[in-house]
Amino acid sequence: MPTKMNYRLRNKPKSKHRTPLISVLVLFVLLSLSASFFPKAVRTGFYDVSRPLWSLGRGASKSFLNVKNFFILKSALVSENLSLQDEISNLRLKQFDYGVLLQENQDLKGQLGRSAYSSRVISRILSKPPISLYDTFVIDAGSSDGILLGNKVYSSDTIIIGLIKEVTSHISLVQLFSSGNQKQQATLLRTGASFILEGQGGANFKLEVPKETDVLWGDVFVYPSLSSSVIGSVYYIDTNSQSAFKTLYLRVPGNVFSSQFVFVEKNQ
Amino acid sequence: MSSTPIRIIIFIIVFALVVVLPWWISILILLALTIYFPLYLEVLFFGFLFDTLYSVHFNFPYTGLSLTAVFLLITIFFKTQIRINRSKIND
Repeated sequence: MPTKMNYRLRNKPKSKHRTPLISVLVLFVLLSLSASFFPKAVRTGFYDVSRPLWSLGRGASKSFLNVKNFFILKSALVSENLSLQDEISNLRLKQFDYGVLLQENQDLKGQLGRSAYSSRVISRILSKPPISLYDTFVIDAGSSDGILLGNKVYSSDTIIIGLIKEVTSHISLVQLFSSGNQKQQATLLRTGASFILEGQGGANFKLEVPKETDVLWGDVFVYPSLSSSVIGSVYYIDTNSQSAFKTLYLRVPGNVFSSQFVFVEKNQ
Repeated sequence: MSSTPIRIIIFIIVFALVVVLPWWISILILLALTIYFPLYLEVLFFGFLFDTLYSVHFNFPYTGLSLTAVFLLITIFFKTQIRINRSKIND
């Protein structure tokens, strides 16, 4: 019985996708493996290359701002100057009060056997949102400056913004509490009740609580520790008559993304 | 001038732009280059760069790397389809 054989035609086209697919796959695997086996070396290498570029970018944006400011009207500058002088005199008074209260607070803690003193490292922000896609800050202090994983990061004396999540010798990565879907425990300063805030990105938080919970507009939430560090304050409360819950929207005080420096609290 | 030196120069420029510019501008630039070049493998490197510089969860699946890989594969597939259709039209 004759058998029928099928031969592959010489001019039969091969899959057009094969070579590109293999190239993509190989490169993907190579990059993944390099990150898995040498995460520290890869990060350090990229940070070392990027650092001069970040400095260059900061310089360029500064000179661009100078050019823009050159065209501001004199009358606008005079009125802005006057309002700023008023603000400065008010802030000086508040700073005086703050200094007195801070000293009193630290003295009281000292008398109770707990010291709230901590050393902090000032650090320049190299990269931040919107350059960073992940709501993280890259700062120019690392393990050589005594920074460790989990150190707290502040934008001012009392405003805490996140924790150190990655450290190389000269650069660290800060994850903000407000990063998307990040959960952070916080205490309501006025009542002492504890809640878990949900990060929404862009220095915003969301919190859903039963309708009868005692929370007001402007209420301040603090980081649960001996010294009260502000995480955020309520700027909007969404109450729906149909729902048994209300949604609180919080924001970190001040504009975190416009600051150039942060303070990292070192472990004692 | 052959395409390799051009690709290297573009790579250096894009690297600087990705590090300095806001992420959404960087993504637009990368999208444009992926569509323009026949097989822009460098986009995988830039996705990986995003993960390395800014991501805290630096473990598999790497978000930036995975997204750029998926986008590159989609682009490869669609580009081939478009060329086939073009050749059919010419026939």
